[in-house]
Parts: sequence; structure tokens; C-alpha cells
Amino acid sequence: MDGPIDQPQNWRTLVYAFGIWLIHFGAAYSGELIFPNQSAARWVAAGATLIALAALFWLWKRGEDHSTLGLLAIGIATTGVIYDALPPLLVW
Amino acid sequence: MIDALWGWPPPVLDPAGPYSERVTILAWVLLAMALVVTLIVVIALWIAVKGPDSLKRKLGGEKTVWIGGIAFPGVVLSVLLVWGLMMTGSLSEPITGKEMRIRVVGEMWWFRVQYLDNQGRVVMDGANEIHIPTNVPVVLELTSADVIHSFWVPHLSGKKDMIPGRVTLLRIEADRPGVFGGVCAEYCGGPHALMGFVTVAHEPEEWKQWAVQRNIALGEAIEPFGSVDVAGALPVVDDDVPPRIPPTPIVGEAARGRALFMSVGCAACHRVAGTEANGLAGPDLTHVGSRRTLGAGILPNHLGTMMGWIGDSQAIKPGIRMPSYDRLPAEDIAAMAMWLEQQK
Amino acid sequence: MNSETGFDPALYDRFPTEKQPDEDVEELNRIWAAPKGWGLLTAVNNNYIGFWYVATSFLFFLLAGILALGMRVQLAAPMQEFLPQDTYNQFFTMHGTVMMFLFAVPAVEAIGVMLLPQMLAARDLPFPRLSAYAFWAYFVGGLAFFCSLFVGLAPDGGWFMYPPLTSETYSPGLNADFWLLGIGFIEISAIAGAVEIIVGVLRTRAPNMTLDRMPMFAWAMLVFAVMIVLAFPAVILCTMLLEIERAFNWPFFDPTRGGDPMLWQHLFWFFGHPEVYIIFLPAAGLMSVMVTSIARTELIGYRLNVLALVATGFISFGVWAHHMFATDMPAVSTGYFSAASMAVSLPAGIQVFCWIATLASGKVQSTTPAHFVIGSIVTFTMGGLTGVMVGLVPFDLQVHDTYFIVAHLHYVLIGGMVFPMFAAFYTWAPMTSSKALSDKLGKWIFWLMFTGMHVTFLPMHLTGFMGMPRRVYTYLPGRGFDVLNLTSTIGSFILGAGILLFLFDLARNFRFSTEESAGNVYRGGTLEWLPSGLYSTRSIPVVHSRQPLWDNPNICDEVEEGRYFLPNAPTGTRETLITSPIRAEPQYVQLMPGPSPWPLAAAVFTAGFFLSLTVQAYMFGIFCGVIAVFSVLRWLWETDRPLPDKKEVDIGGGIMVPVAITGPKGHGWWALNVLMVVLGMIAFMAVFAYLYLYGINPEVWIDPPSLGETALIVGANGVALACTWIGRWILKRRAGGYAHDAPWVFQAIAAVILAGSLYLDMTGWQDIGLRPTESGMGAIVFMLMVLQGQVVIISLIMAAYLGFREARGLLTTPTNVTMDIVARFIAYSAIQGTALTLLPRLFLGG
Repeated sequence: MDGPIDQPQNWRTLVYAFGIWLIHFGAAYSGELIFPNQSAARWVAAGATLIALAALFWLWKRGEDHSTLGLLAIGIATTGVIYDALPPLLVW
Repeated sequence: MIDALWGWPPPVLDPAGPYSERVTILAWVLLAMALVVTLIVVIALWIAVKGPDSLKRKLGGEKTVWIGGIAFPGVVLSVLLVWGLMMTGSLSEPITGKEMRIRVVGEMWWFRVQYLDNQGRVVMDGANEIHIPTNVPVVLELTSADVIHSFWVPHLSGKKDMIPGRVTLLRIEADRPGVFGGVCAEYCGGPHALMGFVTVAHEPEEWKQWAVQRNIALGEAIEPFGSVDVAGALPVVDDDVPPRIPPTPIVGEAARGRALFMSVGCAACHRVAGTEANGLAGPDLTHVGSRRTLGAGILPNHLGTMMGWIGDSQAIKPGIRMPSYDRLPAEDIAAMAMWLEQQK
Repeated sequence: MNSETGFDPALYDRFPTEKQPDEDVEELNRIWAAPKGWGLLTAVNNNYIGFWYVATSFLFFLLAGILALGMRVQLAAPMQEFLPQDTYNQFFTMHGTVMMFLFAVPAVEAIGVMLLPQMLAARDLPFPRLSAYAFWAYFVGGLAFFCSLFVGLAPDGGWFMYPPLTSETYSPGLNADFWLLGIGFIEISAIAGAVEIIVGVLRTRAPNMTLDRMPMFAWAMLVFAVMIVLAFPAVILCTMLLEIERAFNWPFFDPTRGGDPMLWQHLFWFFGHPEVYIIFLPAAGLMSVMVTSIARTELIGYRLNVLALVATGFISFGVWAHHMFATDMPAVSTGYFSAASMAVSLPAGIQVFCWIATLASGKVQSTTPAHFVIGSIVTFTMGGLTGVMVGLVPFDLQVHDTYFIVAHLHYVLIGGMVFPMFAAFYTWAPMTSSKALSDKLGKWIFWLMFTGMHVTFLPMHLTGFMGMPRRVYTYLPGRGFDVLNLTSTIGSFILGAGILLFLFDLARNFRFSTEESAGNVYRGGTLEWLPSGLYSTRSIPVVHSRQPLWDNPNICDEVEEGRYFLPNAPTGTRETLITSPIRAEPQYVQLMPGPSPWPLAAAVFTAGFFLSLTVQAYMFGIFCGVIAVFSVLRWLWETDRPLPDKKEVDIGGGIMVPVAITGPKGHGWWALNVLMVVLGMIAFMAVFAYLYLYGINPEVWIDPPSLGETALIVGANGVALACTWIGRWILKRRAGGYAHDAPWVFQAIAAVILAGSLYLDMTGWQDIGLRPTESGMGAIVFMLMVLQGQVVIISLIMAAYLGFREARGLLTTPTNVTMDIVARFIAYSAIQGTALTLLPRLFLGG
């Protein structure tokens, strides 16, 4: 029988989750590139973090029966997003 | 091993200032963490391969991955990250403008050192030796004249790259007097291995004396020094006139050495303030006699090494811009070295 | 049960079928026979190419290792004069470059070329001639590059080649150009290999080997190849920029003219850090497979492991600047990269504990592979932990560019890649040799290498704390470095002794053979241990589990008797079965090209092209380039020729599938897509470079040319796009037979229009006074045109090739793979051209 890896919806969850992480990372870092050492960059990062967490929450809600795979992917991506949300909070 | 530990504690674990001190604590914690985790993995492997069956059964399931591979590292990494970020923040506090300013320029393969007043004007030139008072925050303005170099005094702080076209800022502060070695940490071609310098931290009073001897024009820079009143005794010197203790009368061999220095080509690249030697390509030799090292932190400084350096610099540090003056007779080199050693 | 392609899975129940006649085996042998004598050089089969590839990469491992020993002798005591300064600088540059580019990446790719078709029970990789070309380009180019060392022209700017040290001003010799040359070859062969592996893993698996049943190595190679496709464009672009700066004085990295040296570091590390995982992931895949066979049990956490591979692939693209903490980055930015560096450690932890749990759940045999695997886990963990340490910014600023990093990276790479590779040598040598390697000697080799490795690199952590920077040809006495360095030197010779003993084992036991193999010595459960010849397995089995050989003890005999798919050669030529990407349902039979001298010729002349450019023999370079292009076209000429009398064939069990198809189901379509992603990434990186330089030096930016001109260029590109579509439409109208009404002309018109609009773009900028040599803006704007120029030239060549094929009556209707590919490539060129024109003309002008 099919394993969870063979089901495209799990793939989508996986790729979306890490994609969200990547976009969040890119947005936060670009903010800092464009506004180095300015508070605008922190706002960009904060906004990106809220959107990313909302997107991950949506991703979690939208599938009823996530496989462990999908859940862990969302978990790691969420950890990654939270990690990347820390620098603008902690580095002053 | 005794010999290896001869240098113990290693500079990274032997902080001499507030910036490196915090990193040292972090370093010890990280080392302990690495040791513990390595032990856990080794023990787990031992159980997996040779251990009793009861333990093996406990280890041989997906639960091991969830606990050992996900939960445990997740907690450890999160704690470390938060700590590391907070420390990054505290180490990169913004410049207040109250700090002492020194510009250090990386050049192939030495460090140009310029003491600045609070307007950013150069009040004294030096090379390969940085003198700072203890307990005074110092901002180093780092840049490069050619390729990328990196400035590192492990006792005082982490490193910062010196990048052509940019000025990077590095804070250092010493909380005890001492001589702390530094190196160029970014590969910069040729004799990169032999590109070093020393940082000398003095008690404030001592630093003041040192500065007075060298006549730094700190008139404008009184304020930034805050509690350290180093500038009271210093005369204000006009920008255009290089500050200089009047040269001591020179006689005999040293006088001949001085004349040779001007005539054989040294003066084209080196400057000795108060003389007609005004070259800017090489290190400023105004106070070379008082420096601790020669050749950018690689040789102790005395008459013998000075002679060796002039006569055969290419053998000591191959590839540098300064030619070996090996065609000059030994007594000429000795005369120049003697005069240079008098430039305290 | 649902299906991906409409294939009825119930058909799998027909297998195993009846025993098939033995004559078919002789037919297979005849079809797949390798050329004899010197002709063997024209072989394209993965059994040969894969073996040569592995052997060549191992040769580079030895050569770079010898350089390392030379460096260790020099550093054994302070102020030694064993290696003069400039030689040492060349040695360490070459050691790093050769190990990273000529050994590690090609080695894992080579193991992939060798093992993947067997593991997936495919007859060969989907593009055998491309494999051959990739190998020969690497072989010729790599050796030529290495030989620069013997004439003192080897690069000496470090494997990271930071400008301005490597720019014309500070490195006037040819040395740096040789580096760029050597990397050029590896870029070509890595991209070619990635295309091959992505299509191979997704489309040539044995029927019913769903993604969930794939060997972990195939998973790792898939992630590896995708990462190459995304990461290598950055290094392709930055090597182009540096070479153009050096040769034509375009100031990309020169701060005095509006360039910036940090641009190089961003581009280089955007490639450079994923590169580390590009090396590690395939080795981790091998580890997972070997752990399974060592413990004689299923891999615990298979799916977690897959997740870990994919997660690593993603997150590794967010860590590049942790090599740049000491540069002028804002503190918050360093924090982002620190955070991502912590996050990327999580998947590594998952993999390590999957291996430990698997070992614990089975019964570990004390074999050589087991030794190397366990040694690898310990060593890699230690390297990973120091990696976590340097991921924290304040600590990194202390140890960055010191021997602590030297220790860290060798722990990671030796533990994470070299030890698994040796384990793999012992595990899979019996597959390709008539005699297994000595298990007894192997353990000695392991202990020598393991001891040597730790004696060499463990003290280096302390050496770094002592303050010894990297890349130093000597050090001063009295700094506490002496004993530590001497210890490292002794350790390096112990490590070297282990490798020497391995060479002895090879010489004594390894006998390359495609006819007989020593068999499944370590009793692996995956398909590469099926009995095989040059045609791989006699028949391609239906896969029902992750370890088919363990679960069906009769499978070897059944496969050998031809009781599964493709027991014969229904088309009478080389072929393989193409299956669907997720569930591996049989889709069609792909015809495969056989031996050919043209890939070899193309590789040799590609090498000639680059070498001539390096030594500035431009005319000869162009000559070589033309021959190289001709050779490529010549090798393609024989492909894409459907058999008119065979539209469908029986692939066993009475199942009929088509022979060769076009469109989204075809393997060529997939390969072209991968290639377009590569080109798109190069363009994307150039866009980043444009925006980055603007951000750093906006003062050199001037107003763009008029909007009317811009509109004209975009309009022309639109017409070109339409032409590509018309060409395909004409072909489609004419169902059956061959096309003669010149649909190719429309492709040619499209390509010519693109050339024209590029010319317009260029003159437009020249008219307003922009010069590539004068400012960072000029350099990067003209660079965008250089990139477009490349795809336009390829478009023109493709259109001409299409014309030739039509003239020879080779364009089948209503669809044709060649037409498909040409039209889609030219369409891509039109879109890229539009994007790259619009960026500087609309965005951020003056």
C-alpha cells in the first residue's frame, strides 16, 4: 500500500512549509539589506514573521489528517521561522 | 604535552577585556556542550553495537529519533541561539562618540596605525603597534589599502575584516595592562602568515606619559576620554605640522646612518617626522626605535634584528615590497640601524 | 487503489511471468556490448563511465592528499623551508579546490552514476552520452587544471578566491585564470550530472518502486541534484564575473569604480555552503543504505530521514553568510544566518539518531563497512557540534579563519563524506570487481585512518584557540603552536598510511570486471545486488518493498529468468523503461543511444576552448569552441529517431506501452525544464548582483534609455515568442509522416529577432554613454546582456540544427522531441530577454 510519501498532498505540505520558511528568511534578510541597522528592518521582519506564522497555521489547519511527515515538516519550519524571528528581537 | 600547554591559557580563553571575556564564558559552555553530546552519541553507539539486549531494544526504535534527534537538539539549540543572539546584541552596541578613535589600515603585509582626534584628524602615525589605555573603550576604524585583511587580537575581541572601499568598526577595551599579540586573519596573499602586530595596553597614567612623549595633539580630543584625563599636559599642535619631539643631537655613526637613510632610498617609502624622510608607502618610522617588533610583529626589535631586516628583509619575509639592501656594506647597514634604533 | 497515470496496478499481479527464452539474454548482450580496444573510450554505458568517474575522483583525492602531506611537513616546525611561500600558497589553494571541486562533488556524483541505475534497476541513466561528456570534460579539464601546479601556474588565492586579491591588480599571472578554468569544467559536469540524476531518479525507477520505497541513496541523490541545480548557478555567475573583470576590466568587484568585493563573497557562499551539503547528503544516503545492511534490518525512521534530507536541502540555502560574520554585516543580519545555522542542525541530528536506532534494532556484524560507518557517525557528530559552536556569532568571531575551523571542516567532511565513501568502497566493490576487497585489511585501514584523522585534527581546535590563523605557510616559534603542529603532522602521516594500505588492498584484490562480480558480500537488500550484465538486470522486477531482495528470496532467479519487465529488447536497440515520478508506473520505453566518439570529442574540444581562453589564444579557442558545438550536435543527430514500424511494444506480461513520446510525459521535457531552472537561476543571481551593486554604490547609476526603445525591445521579444508557438502549430497541423513545410523557419525567425532585440538593447545603453569598463553599473548592465547573448547564441544554433533535421526529413509530425525542445528553449530566451531588459531600464534608474 501507499506510504505517506506517495501522496501528493504530503509533498505539498512539505514543500509549502519549507517554502514559507525560505520566503520568511528572505524577506527578513532583505529588509536588513535595504534598511541596515534601522528600525524599519525590524518592522519588516516582524510583519514577515506574523504572515509566515499565519501561513504555517493555515497549512496545519487545511489538512485534516496530516501524516507525521507533514506535521514534523510544519514543526521544523515553524521552529525555523521562530529562530529567524529572534534576531530582530534580541539583537539591539 | 607540557610544551603544548606552555602557552596555556590560549589567548581565546584568556580574556583581557570585557568584549572577549563574555565570549570566553560562551566558549567554555560550548566546549562542555560538545563534550557531553559527543559522549551521549558514543555511549548510544556502544549500546547499539555491543550493549545488552534490554538497552538495545529501548534504543532501537523511532522514539530514539524523536527524543535524541529532535527534542533534545531542539532544546539545546534554542537555548544556545537565544544566548548567542543576546550576546551579539550586547557586543555590537552602537558607537557613542565618546570612545577613543584609532584608524588601522591593512596593507600588504603590515598595519598602518593612525591615532585620530574626535574630528577624525590624524594626530599621529604609527605602524604595527597599537597603544591604548586600559578601561577606555576604543573604536577602531578598520579599512584596507589593497586586498581584504582581517584584524584580530584574540585577547581583546573577535575579528573584523578590513575591506577596501569600506570602513568597518571594531570596539576593543582592555581591562588590564599587557602586550597582546594580533594577526591578520584573512588570507591576503604572499607572506600573509607573517603579518602581525602588537596591542599594548597601559595604565591610563602610563599611557598619558607615552602620549606626551610622542606629543600627540589631543587638544580636541580631551572630551572623549571622559574619566581619563590624558590630554591635560598635551600641547595643541597645528594640523599641518607633524607633532614631533625635537630630534636629539646625533653624532658619529648614527649621523652617517641618517644621511645614508636619506640617500640610499629608504626615505622614498618611509617617513621619519622632523626629517626630510617623507615617504608614505611604507610604515612610518618616526618612533621605530621604541617599537617592540620589526617586520610587522615578527622580530624582536634591537640593533641586530634591525640590521638583519635592512640587509635581508626578503629572506626573512619573502614577497614584501621592501627590497633587501644586501648590496650595502655591513657597516653602512649598521649605521642606519643605529640611527633608526635611536628614533624612540 | 488510485493510480497516477491510469495504469492499473492489478497488472503487477501478472509477474513473475513464465520463464523467458535464453536467446534473449544473448540479444541483450549483443545490443549492450561495449566496443573493444581503443574503442572502449567511446563507451557511454554507466558501468564504464561510472567506474572511470569514481577512479578519476579517487585519483584527485590522492593527489590533493599528497599536497596536504606536503603542507603538514612544512608546518611540522616553525619557520621551516620545506615548501617556499608561493609553493605553499599554491598547495593550500589546490588542496582545497581539488578536494572540493575535483574530488568531493565528482566522487558522489560518480558513485551516483555507477550505483543509481543498478539500484533502480534501470538499464542505464537516461542520457548516457551526456554522462560520457560530463565525465570526459571533468577528466580532461581536471587533469589539465592540476598540471598547472607543475609549471608554477597553479592558483594561489585560496579556494574561495576573494577579490580584490584575485583581481588583475593583485594576481596578474595566469594562476587565478587556471582556477576559473578548472571550476568551469566542474560546473559543466556537475550540472550535466544533476540533470541526469533528477530525471534518472524520478523517471527510470523499477515499476512500483514508489517514492516511499526508494533506496535512501536515491533520495539523497535527488536532493543533491536539485541543490546543484539551485546552487551552482551562483558559482557559475561569479566565476564568469571574475574572469570578465580580469580579462576585460569590467569592475564588478572594484570599489574604486562602483563595484564591491563583498558581491563575490555573497555569490560564492550562496553556492559554497549548500556545496557542503551537496557533498554530505549523498554520503548520508550511502550511510543509510549501509546501516541497513550492517544491522540487517529496515532503516528506522525512513520517512523522518527523507524529511531530514529535504529540510537540509531547503535550510542550507539560508546559511551562506555565516562565512561572512566578520565582514561589515549588520548585527541583526548575522543573527538571521546564525538562526538558520542552528535550524539546519536539526535535520542532521535526525539522521544521526536514525542510524543509531537502526544499529540498535538489528545485529551489527563486525565488518569493515561497519567500522567505517560507526567511525563516521562519531567523527561527523563531533564536526557537527563544532559547527553549532561556530554558528553562534560571538564565538565565531573568535575562531573564524583559525585552525579551529580547519579542524571543524575536516571533521565534517572526513566524517561525513570520506569515511562513508570508504565504507561504500568496501560494500560495493564486489559489485564491479571479480574479487571482494579484504575485510581483514579493511579494519586495519579503518583504524589507521580513524586514529590518524583524530590525531591530526583534534589538536587543531586548540591550535586555533592559541591564535593560529588558517592559510599560513609558516608560523613563529614560541607561540605555543609547535608541539600541536608536530602532533598534527604525525597524525596526517598515520592517515596517509591508512590510505596507502588501501591502495595495496586495491592492487591485490580489486579486479574491474563487467562480466563476473564477487557478489553480495555484505548481503544488501536493494536491487543493485540482482545478477546483472552491462544491460543491468535481465528483467526489471516489480518492487513491493524497500528491501526486495530480503523480502523475496527468489527474486534473483526470477529476474535472471526474465520473468519481469523488459526481459528482452523489444525494439532491438538499447532502451530502458520510463516510469511515472511518484508511483513508478510504467509509461513508455525510451530508446537509448549507444557508444559514440562524439561526447569524447566534445569534451576534449570544450577543454581546448577553455584552456585557449585561459592562455589568451582566442582564435584557437574559437576554433575549439566551434568543433565542440559541432560534436555535441553530431552526438544528438543520431538521437530522437522514433522507429516508424514500432509505435507500441510488449514490455512483458502482455503490457503494451508506447515507444518514445513527447510533451510533459517525456524524459526530454523534464531535462529541459531542469536546464531552464539552471539558466533562470543564473539570471536570478545576476538580478541579485544588479540590485546589490545598486544598493552599495547608487551614485554610479545613470538614467536609462528612453521608454519607447524599451517598449520596442519588449514588443520584438513578444513577436519571437509568438513565432516559436507558430512553428509548433504548423508541425501539429500536419499529422502523420514527416514535416516539409518549414516549421523550423519560424524558430529561426524567433532566434534572429531575439538577436536583433539584444543588439537594440546594447546600442541603446551605449548611446547614452554607459560603458562596461567605467562603472559598476556599466559592468553589471552589460553582464545582463552577456547572459542573454549566451542563450541567444544557443537559440540560433538550435534553430539551425532544427533546419538541418527538417532538410533530412527527420522532423516527425504531429509532435517531435527536437522541435519541442528548440521551441521551448527559444521561448525561454524571449522571456529571459524581456526580464533582463526591463530590470535596468525600469528599475532604479539614476
